[in-house]
Amino acid sequence: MLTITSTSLSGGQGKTTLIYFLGKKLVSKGHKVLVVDLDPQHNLSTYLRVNVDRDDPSCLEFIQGNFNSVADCIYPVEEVKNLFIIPSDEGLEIANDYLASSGFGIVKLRNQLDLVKNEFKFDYCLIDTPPQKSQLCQTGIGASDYVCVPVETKSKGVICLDRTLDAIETLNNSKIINTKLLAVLPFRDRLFGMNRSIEGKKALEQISSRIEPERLLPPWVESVQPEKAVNRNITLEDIDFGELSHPFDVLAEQLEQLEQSEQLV
Amino acid sequence: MTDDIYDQLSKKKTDKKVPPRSEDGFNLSQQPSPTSDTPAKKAAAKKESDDLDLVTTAKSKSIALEVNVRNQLDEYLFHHKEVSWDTFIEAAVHHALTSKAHHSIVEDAASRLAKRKLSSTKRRIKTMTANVYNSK
Ligand SMILES: Nc1ncnc2c1ncn2[C@@H]1O[C@H](COP(=O)(O)OP(=O)(O)OP(=O)(O)O)[C@@H](O)[C@H]1O
Ligand SMILES: [Mg+2]
Repeated sequence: MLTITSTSLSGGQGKTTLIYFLGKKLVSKGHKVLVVDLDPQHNLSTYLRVNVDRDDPSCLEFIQGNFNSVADCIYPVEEVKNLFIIPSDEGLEIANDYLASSGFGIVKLRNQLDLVKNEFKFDYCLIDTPPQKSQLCQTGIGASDYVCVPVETKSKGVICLDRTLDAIETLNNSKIINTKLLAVLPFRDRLFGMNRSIEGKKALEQISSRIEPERLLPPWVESVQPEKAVNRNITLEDIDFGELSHPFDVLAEQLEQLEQSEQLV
Repeated sequence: MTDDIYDQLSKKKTDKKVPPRSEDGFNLSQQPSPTSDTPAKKAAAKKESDDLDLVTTAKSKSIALEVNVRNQLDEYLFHHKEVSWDTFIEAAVHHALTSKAHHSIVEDAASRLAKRKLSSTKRRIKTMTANVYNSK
């Protein structure tokens, strides 16, 4: 099971969108995917229509180890074959205190996911994180083999990229974890016909100057279609806008290659 | 081990429930215990909660507020005798954090903290200098 975390320290940079479309892309290619909603805003759980009742085990119990069987925390996404989720609700906020006081906050999620690995054969685990450098975000990064960072093609996105890459480096410097940057997704690239907005162009230049060229995904074009697809819990292909999901084709292929090379090891 | 996760899940699921949580994430009942399942205990617990209608609160933290904000707050409190100052702040914070503006709160708070640090340093330097002069 290859674990990928979507993280970006500012709000609205596309973390949840990335996990949503990447997850659906991977299952459409026949993989078994588990997504983890580490954000108490629980957007991902809502998008995938998995709303836990107040007394159902969710991500909070998963992190705290408060379950009989790890299976209790894993829910199938209805009508999407081979997509599963560990959903969250507002209650997940408490996990920040729990992780802070547990002493091993950074590796907590990783340890819990090892339990999943032992019992189930998921090909990929995709983790959505909240938009702050909180304990939840850190444990999400700590659990991952690779991180993907979506950032808006705006100055805010560039600043956010710097902060996020810094945070990842600091966590890696702890030597407790070792996660690698897989990809940066330029989010909401504003195109007018064939032209890019001036701000977008500048931001893209800044983004590319900060990472190795092969880490940069094709931009995710600004459009209302993704939101439409998300609102109906379907894919862009379902509404005939498949060409928009090109960045996810590229990312999914990169992941498949990584998965294969991991199996060889 | 079969490869079918649906199979595996349905075999392994238990019917364990967890202590229910409120909208803001805190447990609804203060001390949920698995032993409270017997009807007698349940009834007793229910009666207790009917009587008391307890609200769980977090540990108190004393807060220092900027004078202007405190004045604004006092003004509101003067006109609304039906609230207490802490429930009022609680509600204000809750509204702010669940509103669209929540991203800008952090920025504002950061700049306030920066300013405050500067001003407290200044004050300390002032007091120190004053003390030095006084001791002379
Ligand atoms: N291609 C697109 N063009 C324009 N808007 C988009 C596009 N894709 C997604 N969006 C919208 O951008 C908004 C922010 O995206 P998203 O929720 O994924 O960000 P996030 O980083 O998860 O936010 P948060 O930090 O609050 O968790 C959403 O409303 C989403 O519908
Ligand atoms: Mg999100």
